[in-house]
Amino acid sequence: MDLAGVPQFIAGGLAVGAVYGLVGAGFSLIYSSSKVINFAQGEFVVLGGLTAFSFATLFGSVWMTAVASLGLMLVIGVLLYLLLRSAKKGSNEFTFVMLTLAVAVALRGSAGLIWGTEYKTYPLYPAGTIKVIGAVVSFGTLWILAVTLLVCFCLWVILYRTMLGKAMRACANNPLAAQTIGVHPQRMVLYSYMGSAFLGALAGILLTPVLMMSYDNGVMLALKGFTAAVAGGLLNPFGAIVGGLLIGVLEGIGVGLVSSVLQDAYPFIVLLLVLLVRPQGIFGRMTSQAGK
Amino acid sequence: MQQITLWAPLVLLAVIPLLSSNSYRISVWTFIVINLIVIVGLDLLLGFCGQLSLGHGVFVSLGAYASAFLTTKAGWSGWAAIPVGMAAAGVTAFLIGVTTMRLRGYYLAMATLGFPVVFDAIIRNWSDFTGGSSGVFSIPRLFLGGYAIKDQNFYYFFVLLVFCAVLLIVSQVANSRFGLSLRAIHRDEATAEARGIDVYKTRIAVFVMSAVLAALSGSLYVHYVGFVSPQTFGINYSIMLVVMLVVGGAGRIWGGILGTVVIMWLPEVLRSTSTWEPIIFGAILAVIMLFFPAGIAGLWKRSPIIATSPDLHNVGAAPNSHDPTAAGSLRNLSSAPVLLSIDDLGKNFGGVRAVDGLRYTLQSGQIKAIIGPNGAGKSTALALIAGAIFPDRGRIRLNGHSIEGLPAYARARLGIGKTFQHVRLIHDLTIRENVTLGFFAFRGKKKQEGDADAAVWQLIDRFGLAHVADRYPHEVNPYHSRLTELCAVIAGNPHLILLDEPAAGLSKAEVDQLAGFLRVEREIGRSIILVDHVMQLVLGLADEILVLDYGIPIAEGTPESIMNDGRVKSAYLGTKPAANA
Repeated sequence: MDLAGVPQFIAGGLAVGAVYGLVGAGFSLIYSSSKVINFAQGEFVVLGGLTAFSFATLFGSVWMTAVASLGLMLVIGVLLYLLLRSAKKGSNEFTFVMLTLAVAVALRGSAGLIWGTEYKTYPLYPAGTIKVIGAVVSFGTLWILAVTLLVCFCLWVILYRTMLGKAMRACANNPLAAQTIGVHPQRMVLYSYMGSAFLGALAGILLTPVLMMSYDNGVMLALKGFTAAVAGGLLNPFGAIVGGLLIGVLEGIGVGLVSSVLQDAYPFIVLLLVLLVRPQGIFGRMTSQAGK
Repeated sequence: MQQITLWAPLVLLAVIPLLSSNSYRISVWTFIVINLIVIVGLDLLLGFCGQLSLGHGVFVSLGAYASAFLTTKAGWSGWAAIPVGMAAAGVTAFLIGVTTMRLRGYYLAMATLGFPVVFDAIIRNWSDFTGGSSGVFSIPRLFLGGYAIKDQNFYYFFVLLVFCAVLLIVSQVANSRFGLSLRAIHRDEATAEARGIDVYKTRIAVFVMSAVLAALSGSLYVHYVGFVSPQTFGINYSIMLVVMLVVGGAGRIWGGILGTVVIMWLPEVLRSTSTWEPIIFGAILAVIMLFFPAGIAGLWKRSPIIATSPDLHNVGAAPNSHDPTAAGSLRNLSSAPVLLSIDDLGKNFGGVRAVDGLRYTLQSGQIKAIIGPNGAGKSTALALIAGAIFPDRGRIRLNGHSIEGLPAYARARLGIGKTFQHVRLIHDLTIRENVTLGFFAFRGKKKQEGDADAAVWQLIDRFGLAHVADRYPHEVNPYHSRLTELCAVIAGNPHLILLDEPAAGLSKAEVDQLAGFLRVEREIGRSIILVDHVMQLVLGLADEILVLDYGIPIAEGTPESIMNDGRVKSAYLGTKPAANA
């Protein structure tokens, strides 16, 4: 084992970790508003990255690409919400979960048809590195961390400093009580799906230039995002982002020091450990769904 | 009737090879039957117990790889390898189950979704043993009497025979008391726990069972095809299993069989559009969930479902006697005069002090009422005794043993039965099945071979529920729902019955009747703690009354003394207390 490499592994893990965190925050938003675990969350990321790949070759401009791709995913988020809404009245959680799974399967199949099975990537970040405490950090990593920080700030402003965000939090806490004071719970659920699709797409746009994207990456990204969300406490999007960073760093260290073959196994092991030791998450409080 | 709906498809499956000599078709039917072995196990997990696994392909893979490795590399016989694969799958499922089954919701689904990815990495990493990504080739056929089973029709009938055996076991399980508990857990965990069911262990058990069956299927597959690779039972296969089950209708074993046949013939029909397969499957799943959430089988209303009305003769251990006059039927634990003693019990919810400094004792065969204004902590006190919530401080002793740390199901088995403020019954079990569920509280006691059917009937009859025994809870009136819940509790033969507002919403005549039933229980020797606002019931029944206000006991005594107590009057009516002002 070469411990001297550890800062480098951490630096490498931070970038992907931030992306997992964004995916996890998406899980958290939808789970908070409607207690549904969205199995299509990973597909949001894949489609975000792959559409960005296509738009990048089409437009050439970074900003146009981002706007087009994010806009498209917002539409998909709305469509998913509308699909779930059209379920029979009185449908249980299982119906919704299966519907998101159906959408995930169909989206994955569509992505395979449209983009084929090869990995796609595009240049996004300026080339160059800086050295921080023995680690070479690429500008790409810095960009990803900066954007994630910005997302955190925006999310905080929206959730805690606007009426909309307060309404969303009220709904997450008690939809019935929120309704009696004039909040429209279904609309809040819609916003959570839009926010979740937006975060997923953003994660995809940021990740594709670093790791490349294939149509079938969704499952793995969903698992890592979900682990991030569970580690941070499923009801707390900021916890999810911190959880994502932790998982990214653990993965980086694991790959560097132990084995790269098991790269995708680390988050799974983390998930099982978290569920076993602290099911309510690092920042979560014990709630009714967090077991005995 | 049930037997026909179950065995008719089997007869159909058996004549198929006789109708067609096309060997390709027979191979598809062979794959279908091999898949059915996974499906019926998965149905126990998803349809009955309500737990979603998106990684069942891994268990199939474990069986397949165990057979592949042991027969090609270690030179074992195929027959010896099959149990090894099944055991490996069982152990793996147990480890996953231990971590995820404690939690409500879709944690298992997510954990199992990641599972194939990890398995894939391990297979590729250990290529010396597993053949890596290219897989294992030339896996021998199973041998029977020194000959390899090569004849296609013969192998088809062989797997069909195995499937029949599996189906027999699974339908026995589904119709047993265990199957009843699975359905109870699926619908309402808290009620299942209150009936004495260990939700956690039950879920793990059913997960392990379904994994073992999946591994069996994987072994049969590789001995037919002769090849396995990491892609064979990948994530898409796992999801397809769930799609088959849900399309056919989970929770009715023949629904899964139907779904498997439909979905597995679909690619044959749609051969020209194979690249569209995932999209088509996604669309089918969405359409089914939107328009027929109960699957194809759900189109038939409730009639030909195996496992709706378990054969009560199979229900298992039951008390020898429920004759109300036979006081001896009560567990003889209660020799001590003090049944329950509560010492300085406290519980806060955030800043709210729900119960504080609660202390009292309860004699065997005593009825104690707890009264108090709304929010006085009465329901909390009952929930603390039943184990639905845990106290912040204080002790609860039953027959001298501390029980405040025990989970609800364990307390139910020790003899504490509880009814809920809002009647809680399992909605898709009949009245009779709901009562039968109460026998779970009996487990772990001396198991006497008794006739459970008779015991259930005796109870149902005694409480005047015989005419609604085969109805569902939403089809009977509130009084009968109440009585059913009480019946289910009494079926567990408890020492102590906790009743949370049993008289709420009942007519005067019904309250009198209820009081009569409860007096009989007291005569048998059961103790009762009764929380209610209906004074007709409380005053007519209680030996002693405890008054709570803001979580604190303010008075205790006989009904007469309580009615004249100044503090009680002030708590209820808000007058200034005459004493200690």
